[in-house]
Amino acid sequence: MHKADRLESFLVFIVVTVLLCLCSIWLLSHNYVNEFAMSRWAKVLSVLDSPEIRIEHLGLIYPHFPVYILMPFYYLPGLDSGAAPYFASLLVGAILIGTWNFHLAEKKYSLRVRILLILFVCSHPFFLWGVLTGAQHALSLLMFYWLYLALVRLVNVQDVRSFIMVGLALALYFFIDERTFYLFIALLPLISIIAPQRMLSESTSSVYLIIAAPLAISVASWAYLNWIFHDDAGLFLSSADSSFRGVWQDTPHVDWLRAYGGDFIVPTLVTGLYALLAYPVLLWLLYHAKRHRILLGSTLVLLLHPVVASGLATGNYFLSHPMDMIFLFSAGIMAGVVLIPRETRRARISLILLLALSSVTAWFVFPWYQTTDMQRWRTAVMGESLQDTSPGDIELGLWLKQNRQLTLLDDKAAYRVIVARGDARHLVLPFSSEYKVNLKYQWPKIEQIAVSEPGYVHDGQDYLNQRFPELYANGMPGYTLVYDYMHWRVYRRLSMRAGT
Amino acid sequence: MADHQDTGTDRPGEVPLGTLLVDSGVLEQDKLDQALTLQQQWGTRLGDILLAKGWVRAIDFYQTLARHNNLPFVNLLKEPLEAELLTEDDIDLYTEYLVVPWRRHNGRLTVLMADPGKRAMDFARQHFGKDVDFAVTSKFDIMWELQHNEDAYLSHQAVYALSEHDFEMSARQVFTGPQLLVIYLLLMLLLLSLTMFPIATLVTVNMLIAVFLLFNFGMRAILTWVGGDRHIDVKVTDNTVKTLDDKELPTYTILVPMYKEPEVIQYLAASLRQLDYPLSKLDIKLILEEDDEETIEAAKKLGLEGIFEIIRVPDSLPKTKPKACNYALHFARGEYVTIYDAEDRPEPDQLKKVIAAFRAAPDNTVCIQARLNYFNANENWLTRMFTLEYSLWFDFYLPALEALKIPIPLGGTSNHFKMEVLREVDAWDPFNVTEDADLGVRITQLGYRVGVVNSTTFEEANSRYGNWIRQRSRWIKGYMQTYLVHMRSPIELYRSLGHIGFWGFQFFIGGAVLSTLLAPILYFMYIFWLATDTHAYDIVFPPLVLYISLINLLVGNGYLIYLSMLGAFKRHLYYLIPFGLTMPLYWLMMSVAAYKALWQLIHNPFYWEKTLHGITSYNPDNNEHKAEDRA
Repeated sequence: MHKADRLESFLVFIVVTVLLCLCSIWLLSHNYVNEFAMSRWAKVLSVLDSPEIRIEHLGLIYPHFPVYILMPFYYLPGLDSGAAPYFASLLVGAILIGTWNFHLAEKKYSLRVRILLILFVCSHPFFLWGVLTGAQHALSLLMFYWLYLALVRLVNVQDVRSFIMVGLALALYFFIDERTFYLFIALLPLISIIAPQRMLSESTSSVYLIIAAPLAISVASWAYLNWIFHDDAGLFLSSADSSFRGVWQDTPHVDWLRAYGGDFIVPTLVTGLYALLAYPVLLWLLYHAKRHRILLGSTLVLLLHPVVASGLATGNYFLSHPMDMIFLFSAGIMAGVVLIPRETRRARISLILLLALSSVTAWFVFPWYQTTDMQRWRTAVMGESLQDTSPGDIELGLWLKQNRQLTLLDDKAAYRVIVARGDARHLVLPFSSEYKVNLKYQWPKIEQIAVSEPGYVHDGQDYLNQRFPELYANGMPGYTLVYDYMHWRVYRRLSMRAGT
Repeated sequence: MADHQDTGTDRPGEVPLGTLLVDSGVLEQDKLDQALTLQQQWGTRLGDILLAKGWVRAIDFYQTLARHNNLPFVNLLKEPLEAELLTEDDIDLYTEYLVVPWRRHNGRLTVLMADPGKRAMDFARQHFGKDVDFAVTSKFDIMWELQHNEDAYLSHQAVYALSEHDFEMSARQVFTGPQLLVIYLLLMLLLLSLTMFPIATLVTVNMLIAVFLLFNFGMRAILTWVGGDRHIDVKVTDNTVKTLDDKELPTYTILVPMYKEPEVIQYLAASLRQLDYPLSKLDIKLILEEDDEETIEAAKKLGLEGIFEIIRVPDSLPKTKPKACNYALHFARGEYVTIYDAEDRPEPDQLKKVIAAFRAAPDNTVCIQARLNYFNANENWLTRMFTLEYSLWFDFYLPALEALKIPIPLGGTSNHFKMEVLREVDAWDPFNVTEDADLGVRITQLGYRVGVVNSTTFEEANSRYGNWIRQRSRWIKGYMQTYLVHMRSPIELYRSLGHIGFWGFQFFIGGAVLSTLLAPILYFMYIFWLATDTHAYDIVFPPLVLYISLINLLVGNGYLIYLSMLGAFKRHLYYLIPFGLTMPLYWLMMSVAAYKALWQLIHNPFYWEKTLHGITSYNPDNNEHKAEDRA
């Protein structure tokens, strides 16, 4: 039975991969690109194309696991155009669906019912958004599925392994998704609902300590790495560029934060309502869990957890949109369906219908307070071609692809350039000693310098503009302007020019 | 002799023994009634119950038994046997049948027996010939006479049986020639390489250390994951124990080696009496050293019941616990045998759980290890750390080792054996200072299995630092000996243990030693780097080595601390969990002990570091006891 289930789940994985690939091609063919996906892919290119591959060159102000996942794709031919993050993301989504199918088969759900369940879960826009944006959301869905299974195991089995699973899920989550802090804090009060009451009454602090210690180890390890590589243990929390700080810098441009940022109660309530509209199937879970007392607590936790986390993250100006948190319900619902005993045909039909309804209602609530990225994604899904967000970056990337001299470039400003170029060979980037040495000189001794227009990087000046404030406008002695198009200029050393 | 023949002829054999005892005034009627009730319940003979309960004196009982069987009674203490009649090779048979040749008179041999019956008589006739007369004596006197007359032979056997039968398996020789050659060649290669390619060599060594530590940590993480499963935990349920029929339980030998612990004996006896096991099926050997007159006298004064027998171990070297146990094993009559230390407090149903576990286990399971933990966990920092360590070791690691079929290094006590196989493998190696760990590996190598049972024996945690170092250095030295013994033929070991077993042995036994030796060097390097911010290490830490080292430093150490917390969590010793954060200090102490062990392995390999027990200020029974010096 298990062998057959595994084979069938593998086939499900293949089919879902193909279907998601088609969806992804559709989106990309309509010019949808995700900034996060591009910046992470640029990091992969930068580090793997550098003469000395070092992890610290990736920077330590964002979770690394999504980048590590991308690294094998660097070596696959045909993915250098920047499609790798999207492919990796949908693969993880397909793995999640394959795993879910396996678990459903174990629960004796018929193939027909499973196909319908998978169809409606996969057609939910929040799920599609999660696995098709090329960001770390697909990994986050997978981790949330695991976390929720672990939490339910904690309710049902109450053995040490359950605690280890929850602790490890949170510890690993930290390296995948910066939302972990909020998910963890939101979980703290909810643990009292699901943890064994006997243990809680004997030693509440021990229960929390055992669950929290792995995450604490992860955070402490990360702080240590920040300290030894950047001399500041708290850099990942204090840096303005840190993804652990969310979108606080963009607050003026984020509708959701302008409306609810800094508050907790109201955004939590609003998120709760939003979640119920996007996932009416949650009511089905609650209703059926009620009949299995032991599952009621864990289902309540599922309902409250992302909502409370969303409220907390909004209160801290972290979250750009509640969907950024409640898309995790897709994984939670999958886990919930697995864990609630398979009941009558009527119950299964109502589940399928509510999942179908969720897929419909979610499309309607999707535009509410939508961010630019959500809006672009939705437009691309509708089949409208989008305009390039940064045509200047792409143009420079293509130009540098042809002019492969050793070029001084700040990847903070130029990640799109690197992705457009397709590789980072002969680029001298800020993590390299050559870059640092050149910035110490009064005038760099490098073949080319590519510099962005001051202020182009909206969340702060890049290193080159900080070091050479007049470079973009006036160039520098010994260099001549060889490229000037849409916020970017390239200066080339005179002797080099003479040589070329 | 005439006196003996007169005795017992005045009553017919068919008068029940109990009635005879009551009529003789050596047993009260109500005790007899109780004994008869117990007999129904336990399925053993009346005499065993009366002696086990101490309701009748041994001398009175055996005299009456002689009368009951119309046989003479011989008091061996007054009329000792003729030593030349004893045969060394038959000692185990004498013990099994409780039969011993006494004297030869007019061509007929008088055979003494403590259990006169058809079985013993058939054996005697078959073994000594048909011209034998029978007489009754006390089983305690038989044991004493055997010890008294055969101590040289028994001592020799206790020390050399294993090394004479299978030298390869004995730690009598610390390093074999090939091992010394390999060590020498490796050192030479290292020196040569350091001379020719110093940086590359240092990087390679650094890399090997980093990878080893990573795997070492990985192994422990896997063991904790496997050991954390609920299904691995509940092996024998209370219901299973309840369904065991006392009548079908076998005789169980309990070996209790002691040295200079006169105050403990009464508490030990009380603890063993509380075992939920038919007392008449217990065969408890108090193993005392011949020169330990204090304890011997204390035991005699207590007038312990018949289930307790004192075995005096003749003074000889090495004066170790395994030698004493090997010696006592000759007198053991149980189908199963276990070892407890004097201050052990096994859970009352442990023996029954072990029987149930043996019955449920595959036939080739010959040893079951109970869990060990400490009753004085909260006495001081050291006992807390020791308890954290033991909780992880016995509650996670050992069940996981069993599940993964990796050799289990047995703990010092509460390991339960099938007697027949224990004798077959020549029991414990007296030259190995962790003979129990060695035996666990040896048993597995011979194709048998070792299991773990969910029953705990509570011991006294070492509460003094010097004492702890002594004990730990002995343990680590023993692990070194065990590793060296079983790695004499690595290919053979690989064949006998399989892939998982072999690598499990490398990391669990060898890894435990090597990591404690490496730890202080790495700590020192790290602290030096912190203090000086030197770049001297950069050259030997290329990126890959650096990252693996960082994983070891951060994730490895972090999670090893976490694992120790889990041990306390599983045991519900919640107050100990925060102390897990201080585990690195405890590891440093282990390293001190490890270097002492290494020094001793070279200079004094068989020296048994004495550990003080009975020094705890904590007293769960509200009983005060102290001991000066015990092995």
